[in-house]
Amino acid sequence: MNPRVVTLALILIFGTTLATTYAKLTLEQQVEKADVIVRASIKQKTQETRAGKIWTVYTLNVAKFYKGSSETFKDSSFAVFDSEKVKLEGAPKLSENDDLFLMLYTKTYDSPIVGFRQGAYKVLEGDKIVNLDNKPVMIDTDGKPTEATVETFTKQLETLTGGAK
Amino acid sequence: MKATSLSVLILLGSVAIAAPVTYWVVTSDGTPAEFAKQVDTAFNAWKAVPATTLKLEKNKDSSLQFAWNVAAEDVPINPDAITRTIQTTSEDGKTTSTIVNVNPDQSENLEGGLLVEAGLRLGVPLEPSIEGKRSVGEVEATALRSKFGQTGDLNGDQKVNLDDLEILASNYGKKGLPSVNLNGDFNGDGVVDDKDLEIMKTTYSFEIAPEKSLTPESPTTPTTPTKPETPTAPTTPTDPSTPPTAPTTPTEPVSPPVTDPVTPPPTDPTPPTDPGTPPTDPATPPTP
Repeated sequence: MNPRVVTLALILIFGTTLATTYAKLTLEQQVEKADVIVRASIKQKTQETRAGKIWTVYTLNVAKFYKGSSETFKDSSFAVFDSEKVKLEGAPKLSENDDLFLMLYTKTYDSPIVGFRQGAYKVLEGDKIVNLDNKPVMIDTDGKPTEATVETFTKQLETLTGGAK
Repeated sequence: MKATSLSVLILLGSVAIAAPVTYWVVTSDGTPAEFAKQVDTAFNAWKAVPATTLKLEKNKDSSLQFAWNVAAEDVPINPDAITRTIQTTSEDGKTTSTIVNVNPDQSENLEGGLLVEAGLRLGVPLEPSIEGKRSVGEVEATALRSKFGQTGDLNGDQKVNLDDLEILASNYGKKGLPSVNLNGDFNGDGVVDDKDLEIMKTTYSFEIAPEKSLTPESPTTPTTPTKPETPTAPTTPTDPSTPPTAPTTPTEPVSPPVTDPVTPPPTDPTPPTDPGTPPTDPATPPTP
């Protein structure tokens, strides 16, 4: 096979050449590890200096909690250690108005998303669920993997978290 | 082609392709002794891929550092991260330094994480999520070769064409150490064979693609090739015990000759034979 074709294929498959490696987690593992699971949109994206370091802070409009509550997630925001001059490679990059399902740790980490960036799912066109590499998320429906929709993804979350809130 | 010319070309081919050197440093502060070895192992796994011109050296440049959880107290590492890469740009924006931190709590995945990090530093895109052990597979090796590999340009003229095929043909079937004048052993398995011809085939069209720029865009450039290049006569075998035969069929794709500038361009230019097209069948092995 043409090596350049292989390289191109790898880039297409894996999307980026950004480093930072992480253990692969199943959706079940992500749900189990998360302190907070929400469906939310990004209300605001800002840069803040905390203890002399610049962080990107995302403030959310939370539509629904699937795990945790407004008590445990008081300020409805999270910060990623990523800025223009100090880049955290592979860090989740979100935009204002993004519609997302987010699985988060409440402790401070360079990225508080469960699985570094795995526990963030975008909702596209109001219904389609993709990961941060814009790949469709597959869910087992009646024993066969199908592309997740908001309905099937929500059902899965509710099953894994022990029921609707 | 005369044997003496061939020797010179082989010599040129052996020094023509150079790769940039990748350096790395392992910081020592608080680092377990075996960590430096693990980092070396990761780079050496890539270095071991045959038929590359990859150059790796450690401890010469600190712009790429591997560190055992340095700065973790300031900025805790995500518990699911195996390695974390932070790239810092200097105030003047002229230089960047990269530090790869390791999460001590993910030691069972560290080997795979470091292998991926080393690959990414070398520009080979790899899936950053790790599940169990990782190794440099054939797909990754091919990707590495596409960046640092021998390209098929055996005579170092920045083209892969019939001249290179002749060199390969003259060595076809020969066995030996790749580094000892065995030009054409692209995959480094110690023999020049069909596999090497396949590698040459993959770059054959690519190397001559730039010549496409000589075609229709320029109004002063004639667009129709007037004469296809005739394949050069077979090379005289240098080793009578393995008489190579130059490939019989390939007609070398050539760019249209840039000739008489006063000749007006044709009104309805017929596209020249695609110079990116490889010879008719370079995959057909020369008869050893």
